[in-house]
Amino acid sequence: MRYLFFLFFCGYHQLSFSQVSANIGVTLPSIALLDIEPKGGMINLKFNKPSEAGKAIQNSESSDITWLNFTSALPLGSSRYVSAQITSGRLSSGYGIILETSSFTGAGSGVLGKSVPSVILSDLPVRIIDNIGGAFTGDGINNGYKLKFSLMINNYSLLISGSNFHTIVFTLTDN
Amino acid sequence: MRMILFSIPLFLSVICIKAQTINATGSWSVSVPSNTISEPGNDYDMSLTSMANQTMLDITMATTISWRVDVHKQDSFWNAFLTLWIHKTGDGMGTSESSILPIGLTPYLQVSNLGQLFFAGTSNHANIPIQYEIRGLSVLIPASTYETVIIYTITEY
Repeated sequence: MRYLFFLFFCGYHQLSFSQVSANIGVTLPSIALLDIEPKGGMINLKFNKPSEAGKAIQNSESSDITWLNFTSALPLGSSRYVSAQITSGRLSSGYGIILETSSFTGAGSGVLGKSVPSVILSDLPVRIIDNIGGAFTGDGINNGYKLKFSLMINNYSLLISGSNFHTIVFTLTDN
Repeated sequence: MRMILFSIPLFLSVICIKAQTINATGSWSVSVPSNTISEPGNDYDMSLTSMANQTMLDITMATTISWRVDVHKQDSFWNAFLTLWIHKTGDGMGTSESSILPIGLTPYLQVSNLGQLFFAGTSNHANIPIQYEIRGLSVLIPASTYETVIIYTITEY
């Protein structure tokens, strides 16, 4: 009987405890960051001269040295897209600018979206990458989506010799 | 006689429950500034660290018996990519009879949902400073507020 009592007491004694709690909270914000790499570069496009009188202008020099980087954090169930539009420099109706967007490549991770392979730019936004979730592409060239710009001729009769400057704006927008 | 024998352990158990108390002062709520990432394309490259004395623990013992403090968390709304770390940055104030182990600053311990030994000691200790760190921040984690409760359990042994 004494032994049983001792065991019972020890059991109660070792189970003797108290508890206290502290609350911990962390808020992760929504983030939408976008840029072009390399920074500050001018994209130069031009039509090639025909090699023989009477031949048409068929090909233009293109530029594919530009990369689109972004970081996106957003609430569960949300998504974003990247659009491109010409915001300054009137586009002659004689020619157009084609933007080809590669598939994602690089050091990033997450829900990186899906690119639209080829679009014709105008003064209205056009989607080039869709269904972006929480993701980051990696920073700098060779990370993200490679952009290739080229010219197309719409109407020879409206082509005027000279230089035109256009500003193309890329926007990361919530769906 | 049987009644008496039954009552004695019950009485002792009541004494045992009241033999020690632990109190915590200070919770921690933090927001990641939206301008933390300065360069598009990058993920977070940081951890969030609280003040060194974000929570102060007070341990009160009726006797000089040894005790241990275990710690675990109960998630209210949490993301598995986020890890919560804790350490003791000092020993607070004890009495001439008290002790605490490990002494002083302890390495960070990852807090899980299962109890694990945090530190141990004897007798009373007041103002034991506790610091927290949250790691694993990423833009891949949905933007939201995540909450958990840290539970300190003191047990005599």
